[in-house]
Amino acid sequence: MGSSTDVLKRRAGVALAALAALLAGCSSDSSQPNGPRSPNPVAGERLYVTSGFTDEVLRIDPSDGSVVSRIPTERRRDEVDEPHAVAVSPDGRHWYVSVAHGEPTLWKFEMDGDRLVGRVTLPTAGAARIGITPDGSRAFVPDYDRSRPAVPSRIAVVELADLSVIATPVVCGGPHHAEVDPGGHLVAVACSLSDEIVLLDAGTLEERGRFFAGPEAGPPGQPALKPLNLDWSPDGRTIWVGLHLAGSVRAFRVDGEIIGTVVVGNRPAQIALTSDGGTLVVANRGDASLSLVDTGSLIETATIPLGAEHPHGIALDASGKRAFVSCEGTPQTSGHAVAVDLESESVLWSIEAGAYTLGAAYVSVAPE
Amino acid sequence: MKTNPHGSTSLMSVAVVAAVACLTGCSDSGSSDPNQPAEPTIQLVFSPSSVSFGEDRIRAVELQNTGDGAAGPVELTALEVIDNGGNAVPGAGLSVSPAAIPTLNAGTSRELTLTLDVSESAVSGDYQVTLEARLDGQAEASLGTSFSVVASGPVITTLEITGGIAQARQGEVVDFEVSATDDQGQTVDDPVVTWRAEPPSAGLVTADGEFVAYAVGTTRIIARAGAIADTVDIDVADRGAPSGSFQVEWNDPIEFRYTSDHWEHGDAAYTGTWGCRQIAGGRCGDALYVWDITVRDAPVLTDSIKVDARVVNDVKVRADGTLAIITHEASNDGQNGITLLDLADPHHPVVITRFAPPDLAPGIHNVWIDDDYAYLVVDGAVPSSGLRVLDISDPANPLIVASFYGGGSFLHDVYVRDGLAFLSHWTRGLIVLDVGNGVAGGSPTNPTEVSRIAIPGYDVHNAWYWPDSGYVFLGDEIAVPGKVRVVDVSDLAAPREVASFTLAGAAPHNFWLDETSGIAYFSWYENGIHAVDVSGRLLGELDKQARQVASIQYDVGGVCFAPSGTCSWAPQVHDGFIYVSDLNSGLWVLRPTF
Repeated sequence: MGSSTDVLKRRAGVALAALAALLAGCSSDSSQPNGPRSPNPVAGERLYVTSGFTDEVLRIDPSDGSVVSRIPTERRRDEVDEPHAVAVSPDGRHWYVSVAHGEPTLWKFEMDGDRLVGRVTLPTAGAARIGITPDGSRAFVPDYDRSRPAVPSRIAVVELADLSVIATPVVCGGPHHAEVDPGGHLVAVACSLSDEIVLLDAGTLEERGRFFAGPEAGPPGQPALKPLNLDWSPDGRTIWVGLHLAGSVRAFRVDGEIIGTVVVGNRPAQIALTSDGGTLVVANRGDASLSLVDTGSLIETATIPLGAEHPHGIALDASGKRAFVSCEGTPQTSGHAVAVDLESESVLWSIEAGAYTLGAAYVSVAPE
Repeated sequence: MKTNPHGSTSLMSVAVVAAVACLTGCSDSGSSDPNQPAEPTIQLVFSPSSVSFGEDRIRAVELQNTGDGAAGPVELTALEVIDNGGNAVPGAGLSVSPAAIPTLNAGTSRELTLTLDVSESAVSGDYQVTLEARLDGQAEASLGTSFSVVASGPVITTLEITGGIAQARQGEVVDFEVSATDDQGQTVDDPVVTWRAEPPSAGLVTADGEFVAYAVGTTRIIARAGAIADTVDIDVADRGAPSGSFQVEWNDPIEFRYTSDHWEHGDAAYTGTWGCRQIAGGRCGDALYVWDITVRDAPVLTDSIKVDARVVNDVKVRADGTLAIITHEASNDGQNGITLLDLADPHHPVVITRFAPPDLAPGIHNVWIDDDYAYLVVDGAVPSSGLRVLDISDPANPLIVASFYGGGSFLHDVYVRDGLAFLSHWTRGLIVLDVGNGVAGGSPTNPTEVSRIAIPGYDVHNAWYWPDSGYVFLGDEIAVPGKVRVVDVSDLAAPREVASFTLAGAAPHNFWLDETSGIAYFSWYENGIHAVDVSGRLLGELDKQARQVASIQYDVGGVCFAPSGTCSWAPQVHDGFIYVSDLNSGLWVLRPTF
């Protein structure tokens, strides 16, 4: 869900998104008589992963793992800028990268040619994952501020048409992931240092709900669960949350009621639901594996060894049959990108991919 | 009556620069392959195409993207203010808000507010300043602006240059003054005059009549007040700075990790490691190497310490040689912080403790040790980042006793001396704190800001304070051509930039001053090591004053992040040798022949 984009399934949304983007762009700026060129979605499939310690994004051919290109995201030579997350716009025309160090920034690229078309400095402590509204108009980038664990920190809310930061609400301790529901109404925030889930109105940014990630929750700044990442079910009624310290994933109703908990591998990082919502894929950072969870029965159905250290990011293809995993590596080993066939539960390919490889995003666009 | 030889009426005759430019893509907008999408065109245009401020100081303009592709980020940079003689005018500048546009979509525009900052002591006349809209450092559009100054004051009828000397050396600063009388025959106090040197390349004369010579030969100094002028000649001789070269005495390349900062103390050297080397068998910066330098030009690796980090950016040794601190960034456990080392056996340090409280979790980039206090640079650009002061009187139990954040950008480095902390605060410039000096009542537990100076377009990366001279030397590791700037802090409350040293091709990194000889050693990335005579009073462009003593690209060519090639990180003078850490190849030992 959150890390992949299948343009075929969103044709109606594309038109609306394009219109919304156009309107957003025109609302504050003058227009030109000849009309702007609209960047093209590019046919075919692509995988992007961020290499946090070589300050670049790797574009990878998902079919065979070959590295197609390396796109630099370095602002300061000989300083680590650390690109963290990568996300693709719902219309498949742009992709975005959050850069965490120095001055946290959000970068905007056209898919066509991977051309940099914008960058905005985020007035926040850092920049973690990127949650984009279904219409592609707005992004939510939590700062994941770990320096003051007991103090709530911020989410940067960015209008993507002109990259204006419209708000930086203080939300909770250590927000790491803010994901918009499929309807575009609510933003669920995983608060890693306060063991909370916070729901914001995606339009007004008013708080709509707040609940602990379980009865085991620790006091502010001393998390017992550390919810780092989450995903919405396709019907928008269930929020799946990865509990990093508990080694489990937990499903909640929107009102905070716990539906169920499933023990997975050690230190789960990113999680992603298949487009039918039937399977939750979990990257187990602590034991180099993927867990597959049947969301109906709440049972872990498979554990797939990846053979690469510290799985972090997940992107699923539109069919839900392949998972692409970015693996951080360690100070002694390279980062990796790994493709997994979820049906045969086997690794399709694995490549060395930078260092401190954190984020992953997949996009597929059908030929016209 | 006012004397106004360059009054505002002449403003209409000022030529202004038209303001359109576009990417090379403009002329290559089509693609021959019909299956391939056409390359976008980007055309940035200022509207209006020129601005005449007259005697006003604020104007609004628009920047338009009339092409068909989005562009960004767009940086807006004002060049130097130029007078009618083509000379740069210190103390005047143009600021623009916003200073950057994140993205400018095709067919859209953005309003900009231009504000002139002109000193009240500016002389009458017309001035120009150009504003550039840049993409990826390249100017894509420029806006010519002009403004005028109408100064008030008495009509000067006689003018005479006084003071100064008839002979000087390159780089020597000579103070000229003027005496003037008005049309009533009365002496004019503090007359407003313009100064210039002839030929202009021969030297610099400031608005205060300070002259520094660049070229050997006779230079004419001209002072002018309205239609009245006076001149004197000064004979300039060669500076006679020391000259020589460097001899490479030793290097044993570290191949599998990049090398970061280093420190030498007594018979030991310590080198940090940086980032993740993308070669077969490459490793991240998770180690400190320890060297025996009893034989100064033949280091022997004696030990190494591995830590949980991907960057050990900095290492410092306390002056008494008993303790070292190394910094952690991007650790596997996310805790970062520092590691304190016992140097009882300097060739085999022992870990005292890793100090990694949540406060330091974002990562520690640099450190300075001053007796029982350590000053840490916490990564990030928010109030919780910046400076932390640590009481290390009990090294096994460090205690955070103070913090400071200068606002607006991240802190990059800290240098402490004589109870003053000099913070290299990137876009916010140099910030001076009292941490025990007494000038502002500060202490290590109560760092108190004394002053700050920001230089537009200059990201302050590192600093070196030389108390005897009253100067602080600053580096910016990003901008090319690289430039070291010199700030006069003899009045700590009012720091002012006085000089610079520029080299083409690369940016400077860390440096070290041999204050006894007055020679600065600059690590200059691909340019290698440069030794520069910085003795005496400093003014103007030091690179034009025959102050270069020696330089060396000690490795094959100059290229960073490569298996070989010069990529100089930091020098240190130690017992007559120059120890240099190189990102690509580790520790080098050089012998200066001067």
